[in-house]
Amino acid sequence: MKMMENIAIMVIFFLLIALGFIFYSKLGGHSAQQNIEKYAQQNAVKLAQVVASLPEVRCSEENVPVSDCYDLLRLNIASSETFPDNYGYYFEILGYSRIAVKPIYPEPDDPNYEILVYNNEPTNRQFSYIPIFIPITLYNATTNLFSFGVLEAGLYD
Amino acid sequence: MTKKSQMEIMGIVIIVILFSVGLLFAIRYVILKPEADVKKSFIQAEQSSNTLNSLLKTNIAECRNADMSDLFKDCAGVTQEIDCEGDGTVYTNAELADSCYYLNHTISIILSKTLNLWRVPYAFSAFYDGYDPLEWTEGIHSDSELQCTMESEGRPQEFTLPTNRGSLRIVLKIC
Repeated sequence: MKMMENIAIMVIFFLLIALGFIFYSKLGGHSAQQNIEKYAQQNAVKLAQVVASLPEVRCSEENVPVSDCYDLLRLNIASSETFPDNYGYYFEILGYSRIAVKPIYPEPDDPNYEILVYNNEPTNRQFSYIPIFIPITLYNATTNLFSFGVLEAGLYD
Repeated sequence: MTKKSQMEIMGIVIIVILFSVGLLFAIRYVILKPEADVKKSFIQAEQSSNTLNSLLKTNIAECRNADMSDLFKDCAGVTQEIDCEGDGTVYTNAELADSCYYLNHTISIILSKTLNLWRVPYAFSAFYDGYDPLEWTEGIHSDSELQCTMESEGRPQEFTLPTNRGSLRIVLKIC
């Protein structure tokens, strides 16, 4: 009888420990997933801030940068020449990401028109894409007019 | 029941209590912990300030390339001077000035292609201190299922424009 009591207590004790362990490991997995998502979000935010500060594309007035403003002529040159010709340099700054600018107003003739400034998709692994959309001002130096656009910056994680 | 077995039961009760307390703490601090949504807070701040900033700078081709801050000043001023349609009158119809009509029209287009498209709840308004919002701004808001008013939680982004009737406050709030 005494032996049975001891065994019952031991069984309950180990059962509680096992339950606690399972519960803790589930929680650990859950918060690890949260941390991964948070890390990805932080990287997307960082990328958006890096792009916003690139002198290659942003507007300036007498060498003074204008906040939240992108020069259309510089954007076109950067997307067709500067970024592709200096792949290694920009890969260090922008990594595996996609940066595009979409004019919103005045509305472009083609509603799908966008300036794909930089796009570097990883080819050797699966990835998820987390874009951030930021309203910006677009400056056309030829006409000296400002228009409304959206910057899309996202990481291939 | 012997005294020894009572002690054993007490022991197991203590273990169960300790386990329950641990479980409660885990639930309170791990599961119910509010998520620090970096993206959301960054986007709220960036989107509201950038949207308003960019809106005010944007030139309107129909209004001889006047920018929106000029249209705001004209619309909210004592008299209207900007003739957007080039028809010799500053009124689109008997009640609404050209500048007010094009402000409403342009802001609606821009917000429908940005904040509305991204399903971001927002509230927009322009008013003089102590007065009701300008009438033409009342139709500019996010979809009805995305509830957001000036009284909702969140930090509004605000610009103040000097006009000949006083300071006009333009407010965009993203909830």
